[in-house]
Amino acid sequence: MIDKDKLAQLIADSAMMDEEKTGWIHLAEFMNEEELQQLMDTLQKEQVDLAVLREEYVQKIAKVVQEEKSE
Amino acid sequence: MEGAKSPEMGQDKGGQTLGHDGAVYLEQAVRGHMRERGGALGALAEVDPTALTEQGREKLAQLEARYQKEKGHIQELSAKSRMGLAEAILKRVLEFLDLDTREKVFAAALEVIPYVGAVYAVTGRRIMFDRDPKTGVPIPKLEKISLTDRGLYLAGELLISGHVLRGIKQAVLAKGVKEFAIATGKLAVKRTGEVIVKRAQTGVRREIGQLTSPVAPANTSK
Repeated sequence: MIDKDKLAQLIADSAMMDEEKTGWIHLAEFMNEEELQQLMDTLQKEQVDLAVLREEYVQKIAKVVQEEKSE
Repeated sequence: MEGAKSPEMGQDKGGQTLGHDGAVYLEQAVRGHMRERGGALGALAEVDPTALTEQGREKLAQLEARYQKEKGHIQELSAKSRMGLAEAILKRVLEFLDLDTREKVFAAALEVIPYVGAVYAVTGRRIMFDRDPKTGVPIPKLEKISLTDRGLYLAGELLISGHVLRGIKQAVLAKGVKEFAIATGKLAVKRTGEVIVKRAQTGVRREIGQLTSPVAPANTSK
């Protein structure tokens, strides 16, 4: 059974444009469980990948700032 | 979401689908989460650029550019994956509606209203009006059209049908709900019908116009 609240959270948090979010909300009406799961996996992966990337670059920036301070 | 009961999934041809109630629930939940989130994420890192040296600012700019590039790559991969998924769903829905080929869309259109060009192509005749030289009364007649003209009429109609089908598909991917709703039910035919009606009206106006024009040539056939 699909967790609709989790799906809603994933759609809300995704980097998609609002128009696409709206499109998926309504497309979801016609999606079966497997397709909904696929959508959730895709959105989840994108968010995880983006979070990892963001963290990586935040650390790189912190390192630059630290180097500046120590000079 | 607080206060809202998550509805059970409905039954549809493509398996157990979320159904209308599920989609309504999902929409409310997404809107709720979006309000809570309060807009876009902030800057990558809260750094005061004025506190950095020129070299430091350059390094930061380079990092930012690389970050944006890699971020774009991740988002592109995800978008492609979503497009593939949307295409598969759309294909299933169109198959369900029996509108999976442009010929079928064309046939559906024909059911809505007689399609002037298609009728010409199929019958090999088109309606023309001659006027009685003495009284000026228009006299309808069926003019035989050439094989080339029949081909042109048919090609034109099929092309329009193809455009309608492609338009539906692109609308789903690009515009979402409103256009998709049109593509997922009787409205698909209605929309197709609107196109057909417009074209038929043009065709009819062209032909019937001769009835009302004060001075008309004896024979306006090509």
